[in-house]
Amino acid sequence: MTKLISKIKVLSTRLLIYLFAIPAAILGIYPLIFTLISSVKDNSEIFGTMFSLPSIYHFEYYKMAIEYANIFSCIKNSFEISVLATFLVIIIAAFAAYVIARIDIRINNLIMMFFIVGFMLPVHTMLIPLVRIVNTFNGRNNLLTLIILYTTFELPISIFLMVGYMKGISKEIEESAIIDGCGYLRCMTSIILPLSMPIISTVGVITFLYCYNELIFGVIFLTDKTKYTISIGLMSFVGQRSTNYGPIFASIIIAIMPMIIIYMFMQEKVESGLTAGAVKG
Amino acid sequence: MINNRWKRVSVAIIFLLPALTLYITLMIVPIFQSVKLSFYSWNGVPAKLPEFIGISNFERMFCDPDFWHSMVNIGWFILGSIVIEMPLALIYALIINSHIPGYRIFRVSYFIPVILPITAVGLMWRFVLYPTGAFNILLQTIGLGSLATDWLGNMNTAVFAVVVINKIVFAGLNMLIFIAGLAAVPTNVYEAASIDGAKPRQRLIYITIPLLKESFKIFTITAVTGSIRMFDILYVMTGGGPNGSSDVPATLLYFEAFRYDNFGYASSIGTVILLLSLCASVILNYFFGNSRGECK
Repeated sequence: MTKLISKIKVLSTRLLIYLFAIPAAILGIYPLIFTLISSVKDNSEIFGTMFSLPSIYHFEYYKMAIEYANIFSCIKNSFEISVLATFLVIIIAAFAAYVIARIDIRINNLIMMFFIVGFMLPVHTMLIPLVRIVNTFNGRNNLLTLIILYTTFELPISIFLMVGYMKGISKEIEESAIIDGCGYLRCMTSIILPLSMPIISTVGVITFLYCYNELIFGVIFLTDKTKYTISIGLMSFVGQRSTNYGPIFASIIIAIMPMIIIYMFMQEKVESGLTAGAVKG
Repeated sequence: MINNRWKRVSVAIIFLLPALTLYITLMIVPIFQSVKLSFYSWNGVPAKLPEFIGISNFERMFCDPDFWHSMVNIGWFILGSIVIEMPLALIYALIINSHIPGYRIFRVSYFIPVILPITAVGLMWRFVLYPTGAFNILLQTIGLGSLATDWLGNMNTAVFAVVVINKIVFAGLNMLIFIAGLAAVPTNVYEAASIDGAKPRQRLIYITIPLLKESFKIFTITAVTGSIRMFDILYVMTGGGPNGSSDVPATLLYFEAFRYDNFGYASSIGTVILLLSLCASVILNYFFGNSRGECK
């Protein structure tokens, strides 16, 4: 009898949990589903309902989104920037982290602290001087500007993560390599770097996500439509075509596709990367 | 290690140079420049030099009701973090941690909004909150149709709508912090408590939550500093409107600088954001103390 009672208890707590968890999950996913369904709906059908399927499927809205919003060029720009910035961050941060973590200098901790200050600096405070600097170098509408900026702003967290990881690598490996005549550069590229692959992929994921989803720098430094990144492209498309909503939803779906695909393939990496990024404080 | 000190130092310098150069020129120097510019007036034209006006910008700021309103809005974001985001993130984490059937699906659906561009997420929610959008339909269906309004276009509700959406979305991110924290709690503590007759609810209140202190600290610091710098989602969903009702200092900064060309005044807002951010970090770190090494 008591077994039955405890079983019922377990099941009822489970039920309560599901009663909360499922609506919460719907809450998170609903905008996505709504956008997906609405992307092929005629204007008249979009608003006024929550879940209805379209009567006519307007798949041509996707074609319109691609043509009018230059979605593919936006995605291409975003990817270009994200990939290059990620690449640069990994290299620059790895070299800097190597020094802090593995080379014995007295001011190591000071340098680390110096970079950590970067976490606390709000981006917006630096905007105006950055605009001045970019203008001096004629960097507007230049993807390279964004690449350099994104690289710089992801350096503190990347260095922090890499230092934490590299410190955990045992010293014996390097010491025996040095006895064999290995210089710092060889040590770093042939030993530490391969061993640091986990943290490098974490840093890569965080940086890529940051670059792809970034908004403010793009808004300020990109005015040429052909150079727009995803974030700006979406915003501007909404601004233009405020009467026909179907293509707008279609463009949103196209824009988020790459991220969803990346997440599907690299779920563990993405989550652990963002945990590390959030726990940094 | 390599014993030649000069070699060590020179290699260190070379390896550090790219990072330090970028960091100093594009982050450290601009901060100082920005603080300095807050004491000047400038309209952004390179030919015209900034004019030194002392603390006029700050005087103007502290007398500006829009500024104080934006600070209050930050308060709403912080409040939302504590009241909405924290419980949600904790509950999500507990659900995921309990590994009930389907927990993986839950994890994905809580987390997906976080990896999407904030523009996309903001826009999607914007359409849901339209006067004729899905949310109002939902209210009508459950009989609360009288509450239906233009959530983002109504001055009284705009900022709260953004706060709620922001917290729902980012609860998914902060859930990860609590999951990591929960994973660090040793299982034998729970076993010992069960043996002593503790019920699940008691276990939750008296064991889990106290042992998550580090996670709460991380969450609070991230949430508060994040609220102070809030910009992206507001820009996408309301643009600070309607009529500045959902402005925060960061959006004020953006508009003052890039719409009204008041670069000096905008810089002073930036300086205030900087100070707030630093103070919050320092105060919160002090307040939470160094809890490492306590319960080991």
